[in-house]
Amino acid sequence: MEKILELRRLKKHYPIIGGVLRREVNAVKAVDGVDLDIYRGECLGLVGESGCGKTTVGKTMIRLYHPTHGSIYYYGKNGDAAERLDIGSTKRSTLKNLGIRGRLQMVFQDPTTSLDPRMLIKRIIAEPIREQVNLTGRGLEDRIVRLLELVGLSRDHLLRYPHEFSGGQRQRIAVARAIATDPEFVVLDEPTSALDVSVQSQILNLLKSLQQRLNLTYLFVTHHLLVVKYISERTAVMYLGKIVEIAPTADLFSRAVHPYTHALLSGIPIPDVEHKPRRIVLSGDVPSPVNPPQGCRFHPRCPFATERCQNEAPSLEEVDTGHRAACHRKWEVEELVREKFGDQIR
Amino acid sequence: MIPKYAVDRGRADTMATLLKTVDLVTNFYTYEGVVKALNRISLVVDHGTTFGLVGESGCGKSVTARSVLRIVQEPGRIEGGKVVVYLDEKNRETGVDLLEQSEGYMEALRGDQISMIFQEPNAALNPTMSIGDQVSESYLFHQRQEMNAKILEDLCSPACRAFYPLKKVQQALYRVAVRDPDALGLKILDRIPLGKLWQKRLKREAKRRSIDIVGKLGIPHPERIVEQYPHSLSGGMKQRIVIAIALACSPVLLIADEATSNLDVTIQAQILELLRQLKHEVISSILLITHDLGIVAETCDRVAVMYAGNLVEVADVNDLFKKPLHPYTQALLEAVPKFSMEGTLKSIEGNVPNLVTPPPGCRFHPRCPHAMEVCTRRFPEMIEIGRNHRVACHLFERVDGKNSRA
Repeated sequence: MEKILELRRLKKHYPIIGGVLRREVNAVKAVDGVDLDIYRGECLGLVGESGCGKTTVGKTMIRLYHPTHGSIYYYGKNGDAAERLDIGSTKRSTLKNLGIRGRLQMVFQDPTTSLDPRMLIKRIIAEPIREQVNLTGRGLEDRIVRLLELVGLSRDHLLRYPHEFSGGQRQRIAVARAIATDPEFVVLDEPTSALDVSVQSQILNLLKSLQQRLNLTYLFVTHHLLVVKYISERTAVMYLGKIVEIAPTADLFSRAVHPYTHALLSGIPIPDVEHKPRRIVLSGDVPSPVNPPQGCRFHPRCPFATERCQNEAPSLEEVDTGHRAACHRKWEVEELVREKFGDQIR
Repeated sequence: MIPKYAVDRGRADTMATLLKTVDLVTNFYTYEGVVKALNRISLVVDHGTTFGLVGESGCGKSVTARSVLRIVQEPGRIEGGKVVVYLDEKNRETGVDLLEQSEGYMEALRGDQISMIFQEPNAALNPTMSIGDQVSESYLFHQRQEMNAKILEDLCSPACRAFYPLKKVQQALYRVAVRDPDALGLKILDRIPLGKLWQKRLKREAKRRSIDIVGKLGIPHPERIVEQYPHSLSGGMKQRIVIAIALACSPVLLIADEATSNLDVTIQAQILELLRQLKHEVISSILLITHDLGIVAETCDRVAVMYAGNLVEVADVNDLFKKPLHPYTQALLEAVPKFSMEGTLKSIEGNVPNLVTPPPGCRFHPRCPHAMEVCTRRFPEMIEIGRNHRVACHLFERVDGKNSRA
């Protein structure tokens, strides 16, 4: 499989300014050393609780943010090493001139805030196109109508404002804007969390069909695990700025390794009355990313933490083909979970 | 927390009705027109059950709860119907119609016997008041009399070692307070800077109780937390505080309006666990409002599904998930990603209708796969099908005394 993006030790720290001299006193370590490969044509799910850095990874990956440390390699269409480019350290203007900007796009969480209320739908979708290619008049309009039809809207919607649409339609417009520049890679940042159940399934199906038709690669950022299970082939679990487990989705849901993944999976309320699993209820909250715990970041909440977990940070190691987890006790976890919580967990 | 209505819990198996709404109608008068938010909602919540109210946003779930408590905001107005509660023994038979009661009666009832957990903990908590003050508020409002009596008892007991003349004064004041909490003398005293201090013991008692309840909700170091302000707590903690406020006076009915929808999965698991535990120990019944069918499947005994201001189906949770009858319920259940699922997700085409001009007849018919001619003309009535399973759909209307489909 061809890679499209490769993250190596990616870090993004937001400085905290303080003191009389307004110097940087500390930093919110939103993303703290993430290694990730994304392959062409796949949909990678990224899950985790709020504040764990999911969105920051997505935004840094397409250079909306400048990474503090580490590199982001982008592989061009042929995928050979010669076209490998570290977009983390390339200037923004160069990115634009090379046309990479248009190939990496994003759909934001809440369509009510990501669409400018004072712009017509026509202008909203035309904006990214005009940035990239020189198109005007009839040609531009035809292209916009084509995009609208692709996402299930029509020519009638061209001259309207965002407030005239329902939540689902607005998200369709946001998707149309993201695919306007023929991207290869789209970051979907919680595209369905602001939507209702019935509309959520419409958008998910739309995204799925667009992926096949336009040959897109997705990074699907969400906190809803069942949505990830539906749409993505591989899933990465993040906790406090680090990836703790990454695996093919089916594998992750049937044979989770990391205790945090176990807790996340058992925490999903399942719309099925016959399936009433016992919960692993984690105590406490996610610690502050300003001062993350020493050693394994999950150890204060982990029911199986040992002394080693407090001192030594585990690295992401392979447990199965394509299944990697960062836990010192990765070989025993399954048994420990069964011992402590019984078989009904899943 | 001593359960106030221990009797009720014992009677839970007899399924005494606790709350009944009959043809509740609430409209909002906006510039665009009249939003018919509730269209003749009839619900029955029994003692000792967890009743789920599900639906998409804008279908009237929250408005139902707010109408029950009569806290519908402007420009909303409750236009008709009845909200009957059967709270204590003396009106067990007839019940009390809340819509006919005075505002004073409602004030005494809200937070004491029926209380509500609001959707957004950030908006529900006052950022300028400490957590302790906010929790004590409900004690000071609802249990003042009882606390006065307790303090008076303490003051009169030989164990109390207050400064002697002051003790006598306090005893006298609290005696007045017990007899008549709204006494004019006390009201005047409350306006005088130093005179206010007589309430100190009352406030201390309220604080003690709030530390107690905050601690019971599984918050570590409650003594420290009650001194803090909402901004210094995390989302899950804030939600717990909101729950603590709602539970302060051990209500008979707790209305949880999307109590977990803005929380993370692991925190949500904590809160749901807490609610389940509390239901066992303290509260009699919960009216759970949510859009997440997963939560309903796990926590509720009985479920009502709402669509565009109408009740479309009411059933026991097992029946609803195994044998949903209304096309909307079926579609809703199919539209949720499940744990074991293959193939594509089914979706409901179209959007939720605008409630200013709702479709004529059945409000679901423009999106319904089984829509018939009659659906566009006539509004379907709630009909009982099977045990405790009610549905409002023309598909099930009786033809010659038997169901056309079922």
